[in-house]
Amino acid sequence: MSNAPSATDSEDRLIVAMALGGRQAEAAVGILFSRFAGPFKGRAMRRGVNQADADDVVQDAFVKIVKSAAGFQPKGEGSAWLWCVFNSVLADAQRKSQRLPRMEDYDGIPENFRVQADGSCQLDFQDCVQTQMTAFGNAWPEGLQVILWSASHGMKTREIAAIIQRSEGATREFLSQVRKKFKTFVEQCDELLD
Amino acid sequence: MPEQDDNWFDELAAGNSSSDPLIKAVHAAANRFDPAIDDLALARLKKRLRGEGLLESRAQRFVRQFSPPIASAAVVLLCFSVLLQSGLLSIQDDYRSNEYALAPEAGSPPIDAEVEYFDQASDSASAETESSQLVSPQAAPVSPQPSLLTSRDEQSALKEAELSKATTAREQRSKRVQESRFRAEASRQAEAEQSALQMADDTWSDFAEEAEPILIRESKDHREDSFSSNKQQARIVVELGSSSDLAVFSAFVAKPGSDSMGTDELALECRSVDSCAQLNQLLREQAGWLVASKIAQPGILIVVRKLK
Repeated sequence: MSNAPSATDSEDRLIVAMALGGRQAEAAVGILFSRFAGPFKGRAMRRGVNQADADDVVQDAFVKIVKSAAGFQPKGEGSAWLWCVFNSVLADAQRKSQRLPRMEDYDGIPENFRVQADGSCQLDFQDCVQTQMTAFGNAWPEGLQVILWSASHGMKTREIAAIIQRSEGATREFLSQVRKKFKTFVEQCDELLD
Repeated sequence: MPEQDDNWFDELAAGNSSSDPLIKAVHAAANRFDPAIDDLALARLKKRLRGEGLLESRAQRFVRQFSPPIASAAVVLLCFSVLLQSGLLSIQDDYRSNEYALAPEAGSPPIDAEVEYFDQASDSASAETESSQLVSPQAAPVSPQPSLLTSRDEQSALKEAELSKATTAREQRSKRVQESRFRAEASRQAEAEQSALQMADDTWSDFAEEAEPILIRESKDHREDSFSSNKQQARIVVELGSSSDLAVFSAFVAKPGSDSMGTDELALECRSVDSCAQLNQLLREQAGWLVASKIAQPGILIVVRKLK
């Protein structure tokens, strides 16, 4: 008898459970939804999608995830696979709707990139970093997204390369640019370090 | 440097174990970037998934996909079994019918219960008697009467015999028709061949009338000389092969009193069926050579002349 999915299961295990159907699938959907619906929606909103449309995009993404689960090969890259599916749904939604902004690619820094200093009062280092991350995300959404993939989902370079559909070498170069520019945003927070 | 930045991201992916305050702060901030999702969204998603059948178990999916054909197959099997049991599908025995009457044989008199049978071995005078009388079955002629047969098996056996006779007759007629068709076809082919040969003969006759008389004689020495001097002749011999079954003679136009050797004519004699077939094929394929006699046959000399 197979074990029911639990909140501590890996993404790979949960996706495989979804492919089985029945109660296991329903439980797995619930767990994955709680983990990824927020990040999915946040990404969509950072891409300029309004909240209502972002909810629809998240729903469509999970429907596609469930439909595609049977073809998933568990190799320890479940998280990257889920993001890939979501990205494709988000891209389709943005292509279809004229109201939604187009997706930028990961080939380089946007031309209008500049450091935007936030004039608000930062209480401590943590707040400063939070504020600067927001500013950084406004200037370069894709740059912030890769930071979030690493920080929130523990993704390595290989997985990020799979999501953004670039080679590992190109991805490392991209990450290098992200790191450099992010540093220019947060270095002003160093003053608040104890 | 890319390696340092790559390490930074690896460290970021490793979690809160890093000692870098920036990495810790980024970790803490990252979780606040994603908006909260309410429970209604999950309920809405599950409802949609159920509606599309995406949360079905494998067994449920199997039943849904295959139930129509399985049900159809079950209905068909059920109907078939009912028909079998009811006997509607059993093979009818035509011979059980009491109304069945034997088909009359060609040329034989119609069989009827009321028809009188005369003893054929009896006196001819009694055979001319106009009165009709029923006679004893023992004295009856060979053809039986259905009303005198009491066994169903005998009736079926007779019927089978009649059918067998009819089948044999049909087969024989078919065979005769086929044979006649073959003969007609062979005749047509022979006629076509004859007309082709006649045409060749006519062509040769025309040629012969225009040319001077040709003397054909056997000359082995001349054959070798002609081969060395005439490449066209030599080529034909090479293509035919150096089989001993093929004899090549030189043919030449001989003028009265002269002994000149011609280079446009070639006399060939094939001495076996294989070499003759090969020669015939070659002559058909060769362009520019006129076959001045009939189709090559063993022992028959043929002459070919090169067209200018």
